[in-house]
Amino acid sequence: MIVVNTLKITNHQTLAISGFNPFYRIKSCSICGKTEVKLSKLIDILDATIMSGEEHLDMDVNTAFSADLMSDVLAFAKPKSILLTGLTNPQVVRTASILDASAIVIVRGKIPPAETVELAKELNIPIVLTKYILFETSGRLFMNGMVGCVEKIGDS
Amino acid sequence: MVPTLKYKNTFPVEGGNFDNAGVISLQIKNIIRDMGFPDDIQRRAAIAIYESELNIISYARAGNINVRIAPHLICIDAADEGPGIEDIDRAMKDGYSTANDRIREMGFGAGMGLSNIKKCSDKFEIISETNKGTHLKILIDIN
Repeated sequence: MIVVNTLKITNHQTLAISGFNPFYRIKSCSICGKTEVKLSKLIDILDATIMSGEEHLDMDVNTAFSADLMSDVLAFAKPKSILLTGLTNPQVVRTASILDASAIVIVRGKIPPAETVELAKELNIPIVLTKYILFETSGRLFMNGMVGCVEKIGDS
Repeated sequence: MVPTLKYKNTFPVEGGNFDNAGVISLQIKNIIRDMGFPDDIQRRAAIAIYESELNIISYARAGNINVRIAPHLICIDAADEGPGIEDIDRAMKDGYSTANDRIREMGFGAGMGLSNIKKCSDKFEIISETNKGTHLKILIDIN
């Protein structure tokens, strides 16, 4: 039997805890539908450092797309999402800018080359670095209320 | 009646040079944004141009991207001198690619490009001749 306890933690956010699952996930607010993940909170969750775009710490980052294939990012990612990737070349920044992605999270402890950071500054896109692997990065953000910018391919 | 063009330009693209991939796309995106076209149109045009740039850089010796913007239409022509596409139906299938390792290391060449251009355009035509080149004709309606 699955028991779900709902605990009200703020006036517009509910925390659902599944009775049999040791992992729980903060669900979006049942009233306004927002999860309220800010870039600053994402940095906390991922024990991350910010390389560019410090002025965007207060930005909402509620949806994401994880991939090392820029071809797939271009074909499937939705605007205003963050891009989680292990690639560090400047094309990642251009791809993000073309798609109106709101930030880039570089995973697996990779350090982007200077030209990538310079381009991100020029195009005003925050770059965040985390040592977590892509699976852990995505999982930790998901547990904190972020969701994929699409759930399955074929959904619009 | 021929609509008055708001913008017209042709950009050369050098085959094999990934450093500038996306530069034309971002430039046009800014122009379209400044013209006040909706976000969705900006993004679709930018993706179609970026994929066209990547195709020329990845596979051709050289090419040109011509962009014309009219009040209700964006017209993108990407023409290259290159190997051409042997089987267009096959190339349009998601996942089919002839990309080499260098292209894949950059995160591209997954075989999504042509179908993605089709998804972003209202009318899309491929004209290709083996060992001569490829011409992509892309139209985006602005409603």
